[in-house]
Amino acid sequence: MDPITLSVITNGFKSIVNEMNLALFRSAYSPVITEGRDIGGAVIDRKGRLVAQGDWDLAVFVALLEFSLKGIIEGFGDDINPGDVFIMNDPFVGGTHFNDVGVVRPLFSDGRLMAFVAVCGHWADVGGQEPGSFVANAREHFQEGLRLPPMKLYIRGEPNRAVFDVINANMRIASERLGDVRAQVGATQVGEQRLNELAGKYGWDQVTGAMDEAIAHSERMLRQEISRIPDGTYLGEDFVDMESLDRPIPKRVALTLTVEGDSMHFDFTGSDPESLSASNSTYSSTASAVFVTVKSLFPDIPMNHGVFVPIRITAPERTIVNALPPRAISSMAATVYEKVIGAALLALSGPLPEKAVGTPYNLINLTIGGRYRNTEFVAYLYSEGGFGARSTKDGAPGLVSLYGGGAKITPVEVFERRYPMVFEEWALWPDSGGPGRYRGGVGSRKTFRLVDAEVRLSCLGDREHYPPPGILGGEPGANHGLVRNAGGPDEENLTLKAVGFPLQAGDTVTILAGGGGGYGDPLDRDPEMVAEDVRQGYVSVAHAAEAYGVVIKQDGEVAVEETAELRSGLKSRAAS
Amino acid sequence: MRIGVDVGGTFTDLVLLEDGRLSIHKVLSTPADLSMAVLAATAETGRSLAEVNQFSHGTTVTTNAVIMRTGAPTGLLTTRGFRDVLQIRRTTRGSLYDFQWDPPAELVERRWRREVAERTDAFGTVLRTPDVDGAVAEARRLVEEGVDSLAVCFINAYLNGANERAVRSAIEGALPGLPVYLSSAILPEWREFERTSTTVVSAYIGPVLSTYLERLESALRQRGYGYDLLLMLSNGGLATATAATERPAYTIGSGPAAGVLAQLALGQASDAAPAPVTGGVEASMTNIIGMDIGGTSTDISLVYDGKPFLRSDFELEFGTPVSYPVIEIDSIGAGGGTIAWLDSGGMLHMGPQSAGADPGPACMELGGTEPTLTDANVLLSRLNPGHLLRGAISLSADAARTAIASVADALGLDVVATADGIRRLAVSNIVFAIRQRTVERGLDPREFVIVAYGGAGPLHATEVADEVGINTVLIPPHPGVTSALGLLLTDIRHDFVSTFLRLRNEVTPSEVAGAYELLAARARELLATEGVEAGRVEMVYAMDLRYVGQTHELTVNLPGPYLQEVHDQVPRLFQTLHQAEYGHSPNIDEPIEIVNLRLAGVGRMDRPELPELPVGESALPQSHREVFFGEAGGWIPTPVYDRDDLLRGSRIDGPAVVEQLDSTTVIPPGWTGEPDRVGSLILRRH
Repeated sequence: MDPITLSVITNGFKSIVNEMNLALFRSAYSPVITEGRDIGGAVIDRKGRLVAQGDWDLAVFVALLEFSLKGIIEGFGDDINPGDVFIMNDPFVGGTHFNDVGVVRPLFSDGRLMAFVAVCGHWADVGGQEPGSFVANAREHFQEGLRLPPMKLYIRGEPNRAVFDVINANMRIASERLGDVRAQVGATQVGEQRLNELAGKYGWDQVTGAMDEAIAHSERMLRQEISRIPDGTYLGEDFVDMESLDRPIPKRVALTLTVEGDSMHFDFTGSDPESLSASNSTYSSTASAVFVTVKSLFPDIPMNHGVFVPIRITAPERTIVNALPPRAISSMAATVYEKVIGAALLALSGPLPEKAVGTPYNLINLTIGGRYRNTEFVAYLYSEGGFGARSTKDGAPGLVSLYGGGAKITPVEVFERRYPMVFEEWALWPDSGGPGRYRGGVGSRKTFRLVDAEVRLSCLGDREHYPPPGILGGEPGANHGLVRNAGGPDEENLTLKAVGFPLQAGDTVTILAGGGGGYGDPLDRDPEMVAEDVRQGYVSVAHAAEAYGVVIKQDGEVAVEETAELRSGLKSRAAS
Repeated sequence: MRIGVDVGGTFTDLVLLEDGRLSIHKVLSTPADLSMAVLAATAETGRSLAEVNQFSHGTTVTTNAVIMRTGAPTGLLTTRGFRDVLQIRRTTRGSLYDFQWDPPAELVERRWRREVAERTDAFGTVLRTPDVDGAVAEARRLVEEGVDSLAVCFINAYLNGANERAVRSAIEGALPGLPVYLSSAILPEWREFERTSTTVVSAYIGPVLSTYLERLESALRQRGYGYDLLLMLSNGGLATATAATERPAYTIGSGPAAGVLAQLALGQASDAAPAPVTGGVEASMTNIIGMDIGGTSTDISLVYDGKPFLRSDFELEFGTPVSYPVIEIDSIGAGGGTIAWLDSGGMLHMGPQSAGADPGPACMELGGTEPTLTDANVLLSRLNPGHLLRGAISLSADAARTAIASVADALGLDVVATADGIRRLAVSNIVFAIRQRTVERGLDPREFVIVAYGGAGPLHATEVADEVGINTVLIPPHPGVTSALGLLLTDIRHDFVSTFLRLRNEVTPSEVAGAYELLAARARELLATEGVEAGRVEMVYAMDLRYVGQTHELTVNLPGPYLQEVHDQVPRLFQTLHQAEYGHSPNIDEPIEIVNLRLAGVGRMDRPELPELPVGESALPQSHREVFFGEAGGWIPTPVYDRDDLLRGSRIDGPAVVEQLDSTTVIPPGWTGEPDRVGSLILRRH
């Protein structure tokens, strides 16, 4: 195929996904979609292979839609017809948690199946035990909302009333959820129209040819990158603090990574058995975490099926990386997902030292709900933290988690106006970045005081016992945490697994979102960089001495001799 | 006589309008001191500034200061506990999946962000008066460390600026001459990050702007100019130099805003009818997709039903918002200098990297070796190497060929096919960007005409139109100086906002009107200092509304002052807008929160008449050359016209090339070109 036309059509695929996503942002009801941009779209070929994603797809949607398609193609075979639209949210087939609902539309030409377009979006509620459908201490997925295996929402252009009725009967504020369905169906219509226009101009032969080529192109690029990684077997691991508050059992994600020629095998055999709480990942989420890591290491490679071909993933059933029904899964995002990324980064740090990075901090999502001024309210407070250090520079501070993608934090002034809260601090957290030759980005620390009302607080978070690891001699970032009345006589550790904890007026809550892991030995960090960190307030004078062996004088300059002395002492202590 | 001067990255453009005659001048910009090129262009007119009664100016001096980080060393005072609002931003990442990504450096580094013990609550009550001694001590230390300008942004100061003002008056007493910018004066709107960012940008560029304007104004006075220097703002209005320095961030992005005004004025002035389109819709000359293709980027703007879209979420670069209402313009990396490159998998891409003016496209032989869109246009003979700026700049076709050959070899194509491919790829990137903008707004692009300007806009306009389904293109009389023309076609305008946060059904119309009156008084006062007569002052009212429980608001334009009848209309107006923006809307009795009040004070200026193009005989081509038309099969002998020869009544059938001082228009087979009443070249597909 002519290489220019290939480039034009390939750009077209990505633009089609962006247009579907824009159409969805415009018309959806769930604020998690319109504000948090918690969505993902795709163009998929007739065999169910991912061809293109867009610019705003959230982490967990990366690669995910291919699993959904597999479910549809295997489930329906020849019974896929013009005018059909599929819906699904089943993590055990290909998904994340029940809130992420996918809508898939097949495209036909002269009665032949040519491609699919799909969009996923996070619905604000899908039923279950709690509003919002996140239930950290759930024992079974039945508590977490409505499970929709792949099914037809439209049959040959006619709405399948049964499906609409079931959705309507099983969710909170169902009218808005039906609005979300309509918005997603509308978005796939935009995708269908654009892809048909592309085919009208270039012909389906060229369009499907370009799909094959785009996939081959990504595969070629990734194989080139993998072939530069030395062959061998590399180990990685990471830990979830505990299943849940009532099951304080740590959980290990184990990874054996084998690099051979231009392919890789991520083998999670040895990971702990599945949790009896909601701290579980399904196979497709685990795979998504692997592909997100790969994408973030090689951001120039377009995400499509070609990226999956050189990578094999083994995740034994009934482990936390491949939980099966009836296990609950709604804590996946804050727990297992990020540990798969941590384990993968650790494993890759040895063979891929220039590109590997310290692990980023872990998603924390706090929910505060209660009555204020005679109305019920629910406030969501995401926390930003530090990213891992790189081979040539420090990590970035104070950003939304890798998982949280495009979400924007709600301003303090909006919180204070709407909810009975006054913030005392919302700032970067000095000394929380993992020490290293390059330092992990610092996290954040925020404290609010409840000024009125009685509320209950729940949290999705992790890494209070197992902080974000550093690599190649780098130290971990700070432990995350959630504390009531910090510094007071009644200080209390609420823990990041708190469920429904009652708070009273006057209580303060401090959220500690740690920094990213460091890169390389902190005793090798340029003392001038440590001095600059102290000047900018990222590192305290005491921490400079303890963690980096750098003595900073009153005037902010490095005490050269004392530093040399301290460092040699620390080095010999480390060696002994 | 009126003069408009627009300073761009590469060129400084001047338009002189007198007695229905328009003349243009174009000189190279002078980055070291941008005012030099302004004066050089002025000198080129050969006219005394004593004859000029309006000198309007659009400048990139403030934008450059931010992008190049050459603004004033700036300090920031915040509420205790909130030192990092500027750096945490809204926590978003500019590239979702790239471990190597970093946000750009903050305009105030962390050590120069200091805290003050003070607090105001979310309803405007001062909980703690500021520790002014501590604030003065911090300011003094900052000055000792090299700070020249200070921003102050306290939590909830949008409701009550008393603590900020107390701190400023103490600092002004102790450190006279240190400019202090308060968030409550710069942008009294909630959301602390956006307000802090806007205030910090103001403090960072304010001193630069003041110095620049003082120098320029005095130079203009020396040359005989006797009126106020008018400065273009990004809201589409003008301001006197003195008023502009009060809220300096309004000057950012002002040049492109002037271009949007010009494209609208040309659409309105045209007597041409758009060509019919398919799909049961009609195009209109006041539904405009503006496409300004310059050296490094393409600016895309939309005008619908004669009105540009305003937005207040403008970001100067990633993570540096300036939250003033500005004319919405999207910039994508597709300009003449945009570089074509191959990725490691061998696929061809365009941009977003650009060779810019330095080193420039390979064909300019200024050191650039990578193939660019301009090189492709030279190789395809769409650009005449000897003609750019009437020969003032010559281009090397050989250098263009060499640069493109490097990519062509790797692709296994010949150089011409590659050059044509580069052109197609650039066009498709622009097309996708236009599609996304219209999808986002829920608009059908076929209802629009394209106005194509900038040096390279007219080269590619019909190709973009073909792909989007548009059959009419307007090429301004002087495409390369369209922004400068826009400077002469607008009014003085100042926008004000205040956050209100009350439920509509819990306020009386007179309460709202009273709050508007506070804004109107400020507007009237400012316009009076600018010499605008009361009879020319007009107030434009809008409000940001949301349904209770929603997190984001929409701006609703009001038909007039806030009287009972407007109060009664608000639910209907909001419901209609909500439906248009989101495709759904709740019931009419859904409770509505009035979030922000917005008011624009407009000082109407006399609108000059655009010169009419005389009627004349059909133009004859100046020459012929072979031009490559990829879609039409290849090289075609093509007549080349001089734009100056095109009088009313002329009609050119494509293929044709029309050359003029500041641009080249390509008319492919299947399109025709006819000048309209004011000399815009109307291209239609038939």
